[in-house]
Amino acid sequence: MSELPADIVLRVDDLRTHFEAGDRVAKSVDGVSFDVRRGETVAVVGESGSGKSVTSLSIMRLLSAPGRIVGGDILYRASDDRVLDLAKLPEKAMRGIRGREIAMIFQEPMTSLNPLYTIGDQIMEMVQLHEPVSRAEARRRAKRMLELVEIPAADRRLDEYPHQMSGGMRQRAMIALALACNPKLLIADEPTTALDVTIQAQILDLLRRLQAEIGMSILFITHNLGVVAEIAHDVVVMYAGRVVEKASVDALFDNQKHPYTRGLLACIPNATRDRAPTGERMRLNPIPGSVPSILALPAGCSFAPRCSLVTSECESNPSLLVAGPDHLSRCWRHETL
Amino acid sequence: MAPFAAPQGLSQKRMGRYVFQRLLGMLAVMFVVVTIVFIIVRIAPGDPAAVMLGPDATAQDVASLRTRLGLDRPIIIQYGIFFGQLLQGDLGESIFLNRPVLTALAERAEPTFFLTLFSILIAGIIAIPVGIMSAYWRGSLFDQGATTLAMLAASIPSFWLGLILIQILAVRWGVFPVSGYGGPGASLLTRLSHLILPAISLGVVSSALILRFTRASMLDVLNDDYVRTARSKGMSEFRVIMKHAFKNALIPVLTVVGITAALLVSGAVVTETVFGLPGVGSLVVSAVLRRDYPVIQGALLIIAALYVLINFLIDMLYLLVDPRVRY
Ligand SMILES: Nc1ncnc2c1ncn2[C@@H]1O[C@H](COP(=O)(O)OP(=O)(O)OP(=O)(O)O)[C@@H](O)[C@H]1O
Ligand SMILES: [Mg+2]
Repeated sequence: MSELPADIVLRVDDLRTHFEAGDRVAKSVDGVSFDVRRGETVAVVGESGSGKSVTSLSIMRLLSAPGRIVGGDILYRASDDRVLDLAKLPEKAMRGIRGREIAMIFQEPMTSLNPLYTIGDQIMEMVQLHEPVSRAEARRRAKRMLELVEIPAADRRLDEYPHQMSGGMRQRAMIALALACNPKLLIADEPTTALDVTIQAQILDLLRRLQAEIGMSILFITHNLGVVAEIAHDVVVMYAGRVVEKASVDALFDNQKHPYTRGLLACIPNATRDRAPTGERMRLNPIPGSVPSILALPAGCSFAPRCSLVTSECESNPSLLVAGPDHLSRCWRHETL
Repeated sequence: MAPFAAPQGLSQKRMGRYVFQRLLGMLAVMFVVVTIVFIIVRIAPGDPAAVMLGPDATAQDVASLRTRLGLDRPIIIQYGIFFGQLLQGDLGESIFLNRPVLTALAERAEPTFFLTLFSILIAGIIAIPVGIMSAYWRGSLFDQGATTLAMLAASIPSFWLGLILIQILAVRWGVFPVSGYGGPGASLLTRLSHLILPAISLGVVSSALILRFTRASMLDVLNDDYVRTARSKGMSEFRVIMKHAFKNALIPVLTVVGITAALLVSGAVVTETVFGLPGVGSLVVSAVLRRDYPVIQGALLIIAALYVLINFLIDMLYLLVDPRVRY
């Protein structure tokens, strides 16, 4: 199989995922590429509908019909050092990857756990799926996982049902579940979006600590650039199914080479300004307009209709251009930024 | 993990309260039912005594029967007596059968009980797997075929299907007995073999409703987040569907299965007549034809009690399946 540098766990290469309904094709993911290095976190950022979830579901091969990977590679370095192309792996082999090699946590802690089974049962099920352990051993492991994610009174919590826990606790339980089999890669699809700010910070702390302890890689999906600064090493900015900017977190926050990223950054509430002595809350500067329908993208640069820097050049769509060391931008005018 | 884990100790108290509430509710409903049955039978047109004795009866005969039935007393007293007897398990005497109503009903209970049980089993065995697959392969040829067949099954009367089955399987091929319950002294196996065709005709017809509910309920849960979570754990699709999706879909399906079972008891009236089964249904039919009021009244009460009991059992099943009810 293909070459993959030793420090890279996941390489998504020119991934194309389409939803076909009759003669209408929604190119939800249209040629997305990025690498995730061992022990590092890559954040995928973008507004609603930009294709973040479809990208992560493609990696897990959990797309629901009519979604289909129509092209590209998803190279994954398994624990035994084999490099697998998940885009083409048979479903049966894929089941050995899910949960064991790559685990996923979702945005909605309130609904992502099965209401009819105890937290303990749901974690034990994961352990026993992938490892030949006894129920007693699986239960010990489940308890250890709850302790790992700092759920107090772990022994008692094992026998509780999801509806008996708060949202923050459920998201912790979900993380415990995801990490139960020591995955090498954790995909977190907006894991904190549904939580209030304090809990959000706690969960981010927890993920950072767990990453340092376990050494797993994280693909962190969010539409909040503020969160990115706290957790990511590299950032992939997506817009309408494409990557529009890609850089290390420092380079990106230092100097955005795409007007869309610049716009996203302007949307972050600034903590100091937020508590201005006048008591006046800071106004966010949302990007004018909204994400175009992927069924009717403009001919050239898909961000052009919302861009203040637009020129005639923008009638043709740029490829990803080198905008600096390890810094790519899909903007003709990245040099002026 | 046990699919139907026993309720945990912590919740014992709340569970006890839930069961107690349902029991109270059941008693309240039964009280209302008893009262309504009492009223319906009393306001039926005509003097029951006169109707029962027929046009040739003398006024004296009618009067003495009225006294025997207690019809000459004030209505509220009659109600009190009726209720008091009921509490002692006394449903009165049949006018034509020369025995207590309860005895008459008990003699006829076996075929009705097994007919209902087999019908609901057949309905469930057909409807639940087909409903699950229909939902899973929504829009497929399988789904379209199953949905069409279900519509067809729902629109044919069970007695008609029964007649067709008798014609083909019993009369022409001789695989099953045509009618009756094996005659006196028949073994249990022989008796039950007489129930196969009627159970199929009732079961097929009632499978339609269960199928539609199973399908709709599965469609509701298949896109739920926890189903996606289950898939993300790496388990087989079969396990995802049965353990995680279906168990959640089961809750509304249980209700429909219960309602269907209750409907089957009333459906048995016609089917028993078609197949010549000596069950409660055919007893009721003959009682109606002969104006045997105590038997009609007793049968109404028993059927209503079965309805209420089935509903209670469903509530108890909820308790087992859904922890949100327990806590
Ligand atoms: N099942 C589906 N059928 C058709 N189109 C779909 C389906 N799922 C997603 N899409 C399309 O794919 C595009 C990308 O959706 P996706 O869920 O990946 O967005 P996202 O970036 O995760 O947004 P959000 O921040 O809201 O989660 C959307 O335009 C959506 O319309
Ligand atoms: Mg999403």
